[in-house]
Amino acid sequence: MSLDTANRKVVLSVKDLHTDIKTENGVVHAVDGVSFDLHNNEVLAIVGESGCGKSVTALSMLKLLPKRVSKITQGSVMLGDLDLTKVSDRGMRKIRGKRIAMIFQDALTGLNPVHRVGDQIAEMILIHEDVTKRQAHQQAIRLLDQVGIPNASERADRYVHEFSGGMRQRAMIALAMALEPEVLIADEPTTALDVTVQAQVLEVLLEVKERIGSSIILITHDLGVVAGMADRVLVMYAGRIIEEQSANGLYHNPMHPYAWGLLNAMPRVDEVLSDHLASIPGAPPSLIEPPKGCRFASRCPMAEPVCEEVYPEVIRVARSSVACHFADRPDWGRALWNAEVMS
Amino acid sequence: MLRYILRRIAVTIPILLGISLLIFVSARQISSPEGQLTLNPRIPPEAKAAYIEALGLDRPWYEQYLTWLGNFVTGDFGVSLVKNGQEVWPIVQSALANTLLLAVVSIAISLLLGVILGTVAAVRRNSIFDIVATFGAFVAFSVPVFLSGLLLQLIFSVQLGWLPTAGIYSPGQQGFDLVDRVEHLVLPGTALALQLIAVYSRFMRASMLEVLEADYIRTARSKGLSELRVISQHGVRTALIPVVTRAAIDIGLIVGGLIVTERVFQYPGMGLLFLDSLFAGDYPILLAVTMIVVLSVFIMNLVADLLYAVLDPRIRFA
Ligand SMILES: Nc1ncnc2c1ncn2[C@@H]1O[C@H](COP(=O)(O)OP(=O)(O)OP(=O)(O)O)[C@@H](O)[C@H]1O
Ligand SMILES: [Mg+2]
Repeated sequence: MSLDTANRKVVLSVKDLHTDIKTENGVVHAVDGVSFDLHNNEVLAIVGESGCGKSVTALSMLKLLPKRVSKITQGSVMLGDLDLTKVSDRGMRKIRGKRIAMIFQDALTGLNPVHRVGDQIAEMILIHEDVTKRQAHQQAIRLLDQVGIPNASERADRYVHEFSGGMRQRAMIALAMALEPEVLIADEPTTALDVTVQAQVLEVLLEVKERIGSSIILITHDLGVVAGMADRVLVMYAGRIIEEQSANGLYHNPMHPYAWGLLNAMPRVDEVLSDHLASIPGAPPSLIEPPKGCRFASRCPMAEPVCEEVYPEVIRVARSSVACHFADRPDWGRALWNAEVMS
Repeated sequence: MLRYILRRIAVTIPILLGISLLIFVSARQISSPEGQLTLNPRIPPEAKAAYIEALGLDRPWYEQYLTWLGNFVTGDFGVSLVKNGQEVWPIVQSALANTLLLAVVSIAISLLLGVILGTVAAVRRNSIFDIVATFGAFVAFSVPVFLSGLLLQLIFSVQLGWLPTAGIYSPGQQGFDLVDRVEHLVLPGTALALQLIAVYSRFMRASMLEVLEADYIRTARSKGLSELRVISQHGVRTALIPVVTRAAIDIGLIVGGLIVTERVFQYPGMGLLFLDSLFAGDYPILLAVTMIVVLSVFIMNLVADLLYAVLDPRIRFA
């Protein structure tokens, strides 16, 4: 599903974003210089191990992190001409839901248990648009219908615990698409679902994207999902992006040793496993005082002294980029990881 | 829902019977009207015998119990032993009305203030406000009513002379007077509310802190709702559920539990009536009071359960 992104308009542009989170143990540099462009109508996947900063990146864009403990210390998030890092709280309220919507991992906890599902969708429409309660409610029913919820008019009056897992996530998608936002951020939208339901929900997500012509940032652990739906992929490691490629490119020619490791750790296409990324030996470094060199060095089979000392410059190769001192040695990774998957 | 209520009542009946038996036996143990009659030299023996016979005191205790029970369920609460043979029910009824008024007014005000204080404390956790509220609640909760009640009387009645110390009407007051009645309600109500506000604000704070961490609060923010709307529609609405049901249970408990407050303020409610009839050995009143207290606890627990189901759609009656 490779896509020529060069000619497409940039919808959202993140430049050198830094987000700190205060914890008891110190300040976590959860996002430490992330840059990427999201193009019109593309699906951009962000993959990486647990704790590498994917969710914090997403929440920073919408400024949904608790103010008491977090701060965007540097960088910009450009939505058109608007730098979201500089927009006031009041201003952000007009962006959230309307121009950038978010789909969270688990709708059972993500939707309010004491309000009817339809009302929760209608509430957002009412806030942003000049419509009557009735119209908002009708609109909510239409949206639920569009994401494939049978009996939508009756279902709209039900509560989220009365929905099955797949239905809940469809309702979540209906909520996110309600105002036809330019950007949909889906943070592990299918992790809480059965494998069989996952594919259906992703299908709905893609349909919605086509219908309303938005772009998707898809955060996932699952390289299988990436293969199935993403146009481009960002590989995140310890608060930074270490590789950016087309989805095709990543599968056939990963450049960063970590990306090699991820693919190596991924089961064959016909296998189904949860948490594919867990199987690279070792653990990522602390984000409180990250190492000055390459952050993957301690786990990297091809690390050399320079890797510990100097953070690698980001190398751009065609439309891809990679942050590795040895990215120009194409077959190293293959040999060293002894990647059977690629055979 | 109706089936659930009926089943709850069905389960409650044998428990009530057991409790009534227990109360009857212990009430008869504590107070011995026959003894009092026998020891009183001024009552002629024939009168004593007639009285004992009329009250059925000469029959075996289980017969007495069944007679009392039969009368009780048909609404006949008997006559007082000491108050010149007055009917029990009007006495108990007026005490119940007084206590319910005090309980409902205090709880309603405490609930309102407790919810507001608890919500603000949770939203601004660890702020000066939160710390002061925590400390205040701790103090209010640990000062016993006999102390806070006396202090209130000392300040607002004795020193300032703003409010009456005791009773429900000023001496010489004839019939109903709203202002006079409310003035007499303020001090006992405040003494009670101080504790209740402490409890509800702490309870609300804890509940709200948990709710604020919930994913659906983040979803609500991601929809572009104002913080006020997020807190009120999605936060308070959910966090309120356990606090409100707790308040319903409290009404039931307070019906019998205001002994100290009512004593301090000489407030003629159930607690005071209980004490008076206990000391006077007036067991028909004692029994009626205790049964009504037990009943009100059961009823308000049932109300709390129903309230829970109304407020929280996840709760279903199986
Ligand atoms: N509310 C928070 N308080 C403290 N630390 C946080 C908070 N949210 C995130 N972090 C820290 O920030 C870092 C990045 O977390 P983030 O949630 O973005 O990871 P992630 O890539 O989304 O992981 P996962 O795949 O498990 O969702 C982690 O080290 C995490 O411990
Ligand atoms: Mg995450």
